[in-house]
Order: sequence, then C-alpha cells, then structure tokens
Amino acid sequence: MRMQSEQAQYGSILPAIFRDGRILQGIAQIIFVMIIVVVMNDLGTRINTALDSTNQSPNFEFLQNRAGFDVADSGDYQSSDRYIDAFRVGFINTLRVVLLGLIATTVIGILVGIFLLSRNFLVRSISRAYVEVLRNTPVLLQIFAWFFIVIFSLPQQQDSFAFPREGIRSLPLLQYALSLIVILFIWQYSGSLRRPVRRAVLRQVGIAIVVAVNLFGIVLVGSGSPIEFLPGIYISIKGVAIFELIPSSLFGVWMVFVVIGIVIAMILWRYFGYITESTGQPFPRTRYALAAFIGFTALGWLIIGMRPTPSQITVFDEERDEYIELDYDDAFESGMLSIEQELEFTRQPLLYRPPALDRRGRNIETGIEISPSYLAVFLGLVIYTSAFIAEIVRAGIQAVPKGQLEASRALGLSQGDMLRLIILPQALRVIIPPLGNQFLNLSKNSSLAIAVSYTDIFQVTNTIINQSGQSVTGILMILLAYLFISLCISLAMNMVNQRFQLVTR
Amino acid sequence: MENSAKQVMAGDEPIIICREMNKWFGDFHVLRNISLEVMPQEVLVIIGPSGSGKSTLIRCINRLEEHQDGTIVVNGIELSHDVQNIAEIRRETGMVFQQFNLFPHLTVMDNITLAPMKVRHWARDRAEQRAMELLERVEIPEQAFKYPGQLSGGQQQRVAIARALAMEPKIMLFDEPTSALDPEMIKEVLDVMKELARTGMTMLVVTHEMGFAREVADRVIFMDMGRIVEEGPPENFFSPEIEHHPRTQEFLDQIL
Repeated sequence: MRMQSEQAQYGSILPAIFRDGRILQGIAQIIFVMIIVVVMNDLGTRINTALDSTNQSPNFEFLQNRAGFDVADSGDYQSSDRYIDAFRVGFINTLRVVLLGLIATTVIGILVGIFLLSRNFLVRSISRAYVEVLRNTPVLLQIFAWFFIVIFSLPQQQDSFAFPREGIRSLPLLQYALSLIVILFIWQYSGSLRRPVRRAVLRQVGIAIVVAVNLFGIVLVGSGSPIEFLPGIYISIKGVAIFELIPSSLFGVWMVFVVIGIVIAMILWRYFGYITESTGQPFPRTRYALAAFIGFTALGWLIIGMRPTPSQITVFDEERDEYIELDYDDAFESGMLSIEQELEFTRQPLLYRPPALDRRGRNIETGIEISPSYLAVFLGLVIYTSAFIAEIVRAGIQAVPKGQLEASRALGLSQGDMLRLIILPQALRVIIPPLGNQFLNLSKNSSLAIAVSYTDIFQVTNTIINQSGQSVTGILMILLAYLFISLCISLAMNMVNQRFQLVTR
Repeated sequence: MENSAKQVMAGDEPIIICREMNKWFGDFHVLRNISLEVMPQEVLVIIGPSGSGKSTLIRCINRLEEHQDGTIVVNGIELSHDVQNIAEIRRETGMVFQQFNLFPHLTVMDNITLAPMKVRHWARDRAEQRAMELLERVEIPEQAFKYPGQLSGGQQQRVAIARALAMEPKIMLFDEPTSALDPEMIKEVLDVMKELARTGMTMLVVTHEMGFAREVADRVIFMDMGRIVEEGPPENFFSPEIEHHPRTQEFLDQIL
C-alpha cells in the first residue's frame, strides 16, 4: 500500500501533458534537429571561411580550361582538350569496367553457385575452394596479383600468344558440315525415344563419338581444303588485342533483316505459346524462334552479298607512287583497296579486320585494344565479386523449402519445370537484395583501379586535382559520379525486387 | 493377412502392392519387411507413434523416399530407378502434406492448374474449368485468385487437396493433413476428405484423428518401430472387447 501511494505522489509532480509518450517523443525530436542544425551550420561556416582564405571554394569554371595531360585508354581525347573532357573519359572508363564487370561477375557467380550444390564431389570441392580463397583475400591484393603476376608473365608483344595460330592449314570442311547434320539428327531422333536411359546413352555416346572424330583430326569424308588463318586475338604483356567488326555500307540494309528476324522470332514465340495454352500441346518454342531468327539473318547476309561490285576501280599503288586503274577482283586479291573502298564495295555487312601491329611491331594499329591495367581491374573485380555472388546464389537456392520440391515431385513435374517454375522464382526472391549489394560493392571497388594506374574517374580526377588545385570540386565530382552509378544500380535492383515479392495477408 | 469386407466385395486386383519392403536411413532401419495390399476405392488409415515409419511408408509409394529392398507395385507399374515409371506413378498418385506445401508465388488458380497443364498437357481453359469445379467441391471458389499467404491454414490445406485432385489421380496419399491446423479448421479439412472417400477414391491416410479413422476407414493399420503390428477394420480396432497386441493397446490407451 505504501509503495502505491508513493508512486502516485511521484507521478503527480509532472503535469499530464509531459507524461504523454507522444509529446515526449516530439520534444526529443525537436531537440535532436536543433543540435544537428547548430553543428552543421557551425561546421559549414568554418569550412567555407577556410576554403575562401585559401581560394579553394568550389567552382566549376576551371573545368573549361585546357587539361594539358595525357590519359591512357582515352579514345579520341588529347592533352589539348579541356578538364571536363578528361573527366568524361574517366567516367566512361569507370562505366566500361562496371557495366561489363557486372554482367561477367553475375554469369560466373551463378555458375559457381550452382556448382557449389553439385552432387559431383570434384565439382563441389573445386568451386568451394574457389569461393573460400577468393572471398577471404583482399580485392586490392587480387588486382595486384592479376597485374604483376599474371599479366607480367605474359610474353612480349612481338611474341604474343595468337589465336588461331597463323598459317595455312587444311580442314575437311565437308566432314564438318556432315558431322553437324549427324549431330542434329541424333539430337532430334533421340528426343523421340521414350526410355530416358536409351535417350541419354544415344545422345552422349553418339555425339561424343562424332565430336571426337573431328577433334582428333580423323578425316573420313572428303579431302581437306586449304584455309589461311590470320590470328583474331593476340595476348601479350601489353594487354589483349581483338579483331574488329566494322559496319560496311551494307550494314543498314542487313539491320533491316535482323530487325525483321527478331519480330518474326517474337511472333513465333508468342504464337506457339498461345497454341500451348489453348490446346495443351507442348512445343519447343524457344528453339523454333531462335532457328527462325538465325535463319532469317543468315538469309539476309547471303541476299545482300549478291549485289554487283564495280568492274574497275582506282587504287593507289605505293610502289609506283601513283593512282592506277585495276580490275576490282585483282585489287581486292592484292589487298590494294583502301579501307574506305572496302567498306564501300564489300559484299558483307560487317567487315572483319584482324588486329595488326604497326611497322615497328610496337603498337596496335587496327583492332580493339584492351590495356593490361583494364584487364587487371576487370578480372580482379569480377573474380572477387563472383565468389560472393556464388554464395548468395547457393544460399538462395537452399532457402527454398524442401516441401516445395516434394510437392513438385508429387505432382509429377519434370526436373526442368520444377527448376524454372518453382525453385527459381522463389530463390530469386532471396537472391536479389544481397545481389544488389554486391553490384554496389563492385561499382565502388572499381575506384581501386588507381592502384594499377587504370584511368578511371578516380585516377583522372586525382590528376585534375593535382594540376588545378581544385580539390573540393574534384572530390565533389567523384562523389556525384559514384552516387549516380550506385543510385542507378539501386533503382534497377529495387524494380526487379518488387517483381519477386510474395503476396501475403 | 486378414481381408476387409470391401476387398472381398470389390474382388479386384490390388492397386498398391508392397512385398517384403525394407528401408534404412543410414543405419536406422525405418521400415522392416512391410507387406501390404491396397484395393481400389479402399480407405486405409495408418496410425502409430511418431517415428514409427508411417509417413515414410506412404512417401515410398510415390518415391519421395527410395526403398532399398523388396518391391512396390503401384497401379500395375513397379517402382524402380526407371524415371519413366516413377513419372507415371506420380501422375496417378496425389499427395497432401502436413505443411500444405502450396507454391507461395502462384495464385490458388495457378497452383491448381500448373501440373495438369505441364504434366497432362491440358489446355488452359480446360485446366481452369476443372480447377473451379474442384474449388467449389472444397467450398472456396471465391479464393481462386488469391495467393496462399492470404488464406487460413484450413483453406490452404483444402487448396492443396484440390491441387492434388486436379491431376485426376487414382490414389490419394495424405501425410498427417490436419496436424498443422487449429482445432476448428481440422473439421473443414476432414469434411472434404470424408466427401472424397464417399466418391470412391483410393486413400492412404496417416493421421492422429481417431474419429475420422472410425468413421471413414475401411481398414486401420497400426505401425510401430517400422513394422505393421496390427491391422483390421475400425470397428474391431477401436472395440474394447477385442484383445489387441500389447503395443497397440498401450498406444490406444494413451490417445483414446
């Protein structure tokens, strides 16, 4: 009794309004906001005065000044361009790493994640080792390892690894064509077998035999035709050089065929989907649509190639140092056509140009060049992040309750339908939020490019700051650039995530 | 083996035959020499203490569990590693689980039409029409376009029954269908099962609902330690006058 009366007395000291929890919360919030405002205001004023006194207040006018420094991996940028152009080059280089990196790391991560759940002991153990080694070492170390160990041990440029090896080789083309037909036939025929064991044996053994015959160079049908090989890919300490496909004057016409091909494929896909819905009869509609698309674009390529070429053409003869008239075919054979003429008169929509070194054998003249520092950053980020994604994918698949698999099996669903219609939609729900985090990690970790002098936004802006002294503006711009990339990724992932949410009460 | 009245009456071939079936989980011998025949249209209730192997027994019949010794023949097809046979048997057996196991990302309608369309290759119209009939039979047609997460436990279990029936199976397996339900929801599920039994479905039911067993079962099996200890028609099984195996008596004393 005494206790109760004491409490009542104590409680009555405060008026009721100050005992209302809602009011107390409101007061606390007002005090908190006031503290923040005071502190931020004080901090802001101090920073402003300090910056003003050293003439460093943020301004964006200097970006129009001449940069005066070179940037590697820069496309058409020159040192006489403005700071803002250098900044743009850096931003594009960051995007090159991040966008391609996200795609590559997702593909590798999903594969390894599925391997982690494999029933095959070897596959499971190797992928487990891959994940544990890669996610437990710093990403900076991995980028260094790619750069200083892997890429530095590649041969000099003049001794590049080249694929395929240069030279004239004899290939039994007729046999290859027949083998392809045999494989397609086996695949189609075995699909009609009712007993799955026989189907699997015929498919695996039959196709393995055909592939083996061709791989070991056994020639059974026809004689070899001599074919000249020019390397399409060079790998050396200077990076990787890859062939180019340049759109020719026919490219536009061919694109019309490609677009129509896509439309036809989509119509077929929908049509067979509709037939399946309304009759129940299953069709391999993806295969049909793909075949229609490939067939139509190939047909377009052939039809376009039938246009006539000029009979005579004026070319520049370097030996005689003058222009001469030649038969088009002769000029083409002797390689005297200029690249512009080839693009104008070729029979192909895309012109294949292998990478070639300049006369001194130092620099790549044609073809796409990938610098060693890009490779190191790209591989480092992709491989490192893929280990985390693999774990996320594994966990996501395992998070699907066992009862879901049992229910699917009890209903008689096939393995493929179970994976596609039951497991995947439920696993993605668990996978996507942490996957988005890994995407953000990769994009932000790309700033480690500075360690191997890859000219990403961080490295370029760093140079800009050193030259202009505008550190506040520079850092602000880096910040905004990363914020922009991150927010885009977040937005995309949130949109995807919403599609996979479950409806509950 | 004692034959129930209905078996004699039907005079058919048994639809499920287990002979000398054995199963181990590692070193643990879950099913010991199980021999069992189930006639078409028979309702068989399996009771027993937990861990006695009753769930494992019915899960062997549609190959959710693999038996290691002996033979199981379902609807004339022998269960082996032949995936074609397994698929055929699963088409003819529906199963209802303790935890419902509805697909949470699909609507009630899609849950029911999925298997008929993918496995039986029905047109969507036909599958949806059949689904609506079944939903009316389990008395929740108004829930067709909701998601499982929006339904009560009893409604979910009735959808699960409709989903299994949509494949038009010859046999229905029930694995403790009411054990995860609130008491007032048990009745609505049992009512659906009773109605199903009246229409002549072959049913194997693992349950602790003795009232259901007494009312609907043609035959009751008591299992313990992986063995079939005793079997008989429910009127004998639950009658105090009949002398039971001591283990059965102990179990019945505890639950009745």
